[in-house]
Amino acid sequence: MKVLAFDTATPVTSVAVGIDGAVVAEISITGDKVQMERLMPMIDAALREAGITVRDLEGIAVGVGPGLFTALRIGVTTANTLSQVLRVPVVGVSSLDILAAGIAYRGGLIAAAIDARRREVFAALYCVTEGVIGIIAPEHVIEPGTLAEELAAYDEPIAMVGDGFSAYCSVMRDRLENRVTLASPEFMYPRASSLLMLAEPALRAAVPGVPGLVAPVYVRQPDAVELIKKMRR
Amino acid sequence: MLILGVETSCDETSASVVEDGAIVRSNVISSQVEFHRPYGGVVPEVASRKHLELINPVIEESLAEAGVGFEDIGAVAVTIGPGLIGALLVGLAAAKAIAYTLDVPLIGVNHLEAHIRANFLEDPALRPPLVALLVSGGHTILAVMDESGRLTTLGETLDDAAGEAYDKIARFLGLAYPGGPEIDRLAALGDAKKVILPRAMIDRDDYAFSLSGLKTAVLNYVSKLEKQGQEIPLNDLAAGFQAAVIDVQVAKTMRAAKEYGVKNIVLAGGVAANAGLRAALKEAADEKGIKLNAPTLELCTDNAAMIASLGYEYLKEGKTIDMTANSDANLPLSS
Ligand SMILES: [Zn+2]
Repeated sequence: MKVLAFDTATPVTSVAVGIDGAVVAEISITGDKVQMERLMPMIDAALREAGITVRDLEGIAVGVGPGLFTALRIGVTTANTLSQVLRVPVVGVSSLDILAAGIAYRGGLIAAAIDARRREVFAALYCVTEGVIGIIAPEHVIEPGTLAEELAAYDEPIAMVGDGFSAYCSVMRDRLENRVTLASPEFMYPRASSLLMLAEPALRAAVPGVPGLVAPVYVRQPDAVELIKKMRR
Repeated sequence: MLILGVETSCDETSASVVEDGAIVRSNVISSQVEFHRPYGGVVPEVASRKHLELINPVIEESLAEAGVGFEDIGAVAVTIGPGLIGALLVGLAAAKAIAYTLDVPLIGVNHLEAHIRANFLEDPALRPPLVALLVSGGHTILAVMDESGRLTTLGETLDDAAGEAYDKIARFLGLAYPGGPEIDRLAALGDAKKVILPRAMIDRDDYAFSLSGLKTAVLNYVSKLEKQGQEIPLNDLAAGFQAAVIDVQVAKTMRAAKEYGVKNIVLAGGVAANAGLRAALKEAADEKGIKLNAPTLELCTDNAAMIASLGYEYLKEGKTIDMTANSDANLPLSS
């Protein structure tokens, strides 16, 4: 199965091409607000490196956030539209799941967090038992200090991954001290190779030839919606 | 050649198939007006989210209605600006994915120029030179198109756009959203002579517009009546407001037509659907023996047919964009 995977939920845009379960090309580029200019050229380059064309693809995998709203929409719209034109299935995977998968080999508790700006993070908590990743706390938006309190409730070492933790590492260390370890920098952003691995089973199970429509996971409501809710209260 | 047009610059998600720039095979427009009504205006983040949900079904429908498949599409034309940046990016992302997969040209179309283009789409006999009054939720622009079709902006609003002013006044008066059609409807029932409001910049010999002073005048008028315990004559106020807006637009448009010696005036943009404006401009143009073109309602509003149609012209000139292209929220009509 020939699969194209990409994630645009963070300042790192990552694209990978997989053939029969193996990653044959992966490109990641860091940069804020460059997704529109870079994503399609990166896809083109990854496909060329993999020696296939867009027409050969049999499935699309995309990171659905949470993350940067505008960048996220560029990725998800691109994925949905490729699926539509090619008539192949598309699968969406949480960008926090992708982060956790990147360091799943470590086992135990893994906390993933993506910087949500405004002094908040999008976070989720996972537990890896015998190589299988299970979700303990699904994605939610939270202040770093409160997240530290949440994590303190667990009496085990926790591996932290994602730019939500690199941004607030000292907040975590202050509360959790040496019970937490920060993953090394290359794992700090969702990588399309991890996404490929996570999405493969679902793509294999999908009905071939049927396009899909994936929805981003925003977690946060638009500001105006929040404002109206407050006014009605 | 069939061109697929994609338009997502504001609160309409639209896709269209147009043949040779002239024959509209389909023009699917999904309005988000319901989703913005609670806020009394377009909320950019809400609009962007809706575009993402709607863009693929709308494209699918546009192909089905035209009776064609992706394989029949010869080029993709998409609005690259001006507009809400988050909204524009959704359309461009979709357009790029289609053009890349089909390996066909991608054309980045100026939304404002496309509004003016809508007039040519409906009247193939129309020829420049002409003066164009472009009025919408985001714009109030007076422009001249020379014989070769080149557009030059003569003037625009210094503050609020026409549609924006309508929405603000409607919100203030507690009228339904969107404000334009509602004020237009009430104005037809009222007497403009009973509420005289200032005609901003009508005597200035340039082509600039200003609507914020008029807005303030309405606010002052209403608070004065409220203090006196009087009821607000909504219909007369709507008529007075509309007349003040229209008088300036008509006067400046006619002056431009005279200065540039044109025999054609075109109306364009969402506010071109305003019945009061159409009637007043028609009357003034008739008097001078000038022909007025105004698109049907479907082509006044934001739509992808005008994008695909203008895209065909761009393509003939070799004006295409590549996969590194970006949207431009502030793209001017002419530079
Ligand atoms: Zn418009």
